[in-house]
Amino acid sequence: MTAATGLRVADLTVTYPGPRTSGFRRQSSITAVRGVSLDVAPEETVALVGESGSGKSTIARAIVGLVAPSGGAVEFDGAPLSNRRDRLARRNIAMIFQDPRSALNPRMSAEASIVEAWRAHPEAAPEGVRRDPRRRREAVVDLLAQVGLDPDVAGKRPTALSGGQCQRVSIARALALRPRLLICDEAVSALDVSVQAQVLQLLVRVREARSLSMLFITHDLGVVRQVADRVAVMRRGELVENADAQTLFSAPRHDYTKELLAAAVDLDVSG
Amino acid sequence: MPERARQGSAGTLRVRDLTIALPGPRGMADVVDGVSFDMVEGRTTGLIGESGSGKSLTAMALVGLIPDTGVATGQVLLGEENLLTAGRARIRQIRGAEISVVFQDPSTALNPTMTIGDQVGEILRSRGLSRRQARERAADLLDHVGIPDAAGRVGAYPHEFSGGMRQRAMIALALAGRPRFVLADEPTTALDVTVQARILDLLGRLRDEDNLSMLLVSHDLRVMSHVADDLVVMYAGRVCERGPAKAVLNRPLHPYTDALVRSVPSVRVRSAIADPLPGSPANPFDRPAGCPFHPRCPRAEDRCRTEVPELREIAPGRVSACHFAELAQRTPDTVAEELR
Repeated sequence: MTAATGLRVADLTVTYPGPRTSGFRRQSSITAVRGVSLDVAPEETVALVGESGSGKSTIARAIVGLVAPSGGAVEFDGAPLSNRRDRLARRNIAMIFQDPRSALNPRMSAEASIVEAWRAHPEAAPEGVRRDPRRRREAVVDLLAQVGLDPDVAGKRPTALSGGQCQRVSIARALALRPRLLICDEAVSALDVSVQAQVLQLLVRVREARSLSMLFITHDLGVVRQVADRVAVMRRGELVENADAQTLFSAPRHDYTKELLAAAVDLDVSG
Repeated sequence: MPERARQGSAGTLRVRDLTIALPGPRGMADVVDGVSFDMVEGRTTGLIGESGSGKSLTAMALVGLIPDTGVATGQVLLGEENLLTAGRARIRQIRGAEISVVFQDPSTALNPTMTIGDQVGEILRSRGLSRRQARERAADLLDHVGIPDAAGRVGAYPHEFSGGMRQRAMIALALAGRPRFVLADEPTTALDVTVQARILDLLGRLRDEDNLSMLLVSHDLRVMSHVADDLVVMYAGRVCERGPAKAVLNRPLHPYTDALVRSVPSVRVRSAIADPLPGSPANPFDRPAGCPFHPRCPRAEDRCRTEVPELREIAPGRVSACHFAELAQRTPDTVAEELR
């Protein structure tokens, strides 16, 4: 057992091949992330902000192994996540996406989606769920309750659920494997404001109840303000500032961070 | 921009009791139900609501862009003319000339195979300008909406523009026919924050310089608070509150507006998630009885479950559809007065 040091991203570079211009030729490759180093300590919530194309989602994809880094290293609690076979280490990390409807299999009930996660990672499944259907249903209902959903949601498919409910099912599915780090990639951006507040509150509660770390990717500085302990600012593939949230909001140092904060449209009730 | 050719007062577009029925799982349902508001010259009206509120459908109905299976009743009055009963040919004439639309996603609303200049020019030429005049005027328009080196870029294709520049081009396209009324449906939602702020500034500037009457449809109260002069808050296809934007946001007279204001994640304070509304926005095909907001409302009483609250004037210019709006209108001062 290695020490709980959390997530460590060191000097990460991700390069995508350029678009194909003909059957044999490609344009020069595009470096989406260039030499980024970023840590998420145990129980810490780090927000990764930046505009579209800044590379923030690519970092998340590299952490969970959806894209292969062309340089640098990613490790969790000291164990490298260098190849797709590091299943055990990867189980510690779960990811929630922006569009909960397309993240869930439309033909699977909420229960089936959760059970599928246990089938892929039997070592993380609660005791007895593989053989005993009643025990399985209990475990699913228990998970759903933790994300504020009624037991009857277990039998429903995504089409029968609202966007907020789908996102809660995604969260339940992510929690099913008892992760240590939750990556939320624009996880509340597509939700209605009133539902967004509920899901943010849920994420904060789950984080506290389970002592989770979070990497919260968003373009919305208002959302960042609600959840983050620390904020990392990306611009054109590079990390330009990484500071304690309080400090970043009150005294940003980098010009680009200042520009982002100045442009952030906040509720204006003056006058 | 060249001086406006139009003379006289641009007037007001009046929406009265607009009701839109669409086929749903259990037959036709009034997914927009009795909506009324005015679009006033030189002012921006913000139409705000969450999913299912009917805000976009309401806006599109003003220019006859509702689904073929839908039925719109009520009145959309341009002067004395009811656009809901006007023929298709007449609506096509009005669309672009009197009332134009800025869509959310400029990359799908613009034609990728035509240069920006040709797309703007097409509208101008249909209005009788020569090819050369159209090209010059197109460059003027692109310049007017803040596209740098406009004259040099009339020959560019949409994909050669950034997202923000494409939205500016879309706005130029909307202005080409010199409309008095502009409907903007989530015009900044697909844009990055730094670009968003600039487009909002542009919309405000155009409203003032061209004396436009704008209808801004958005789910984003933060955007609204910067641009809207008047607000119409919709829930489940009905108006729940209407009034001057600042007044509505400062002291909402409907619990739904109040909850929206509180849910906004602010950069300044960490309070949006303290006390969120329960549940999801109501489905307009299956609208709850009584006040449609009652299942989520923190102050709902028996009456709210059965009796549809009437939309009524609570204070000058302030309209609310909450049974208890008169109480919300009371301030500590007025209450003290009553007790005295």
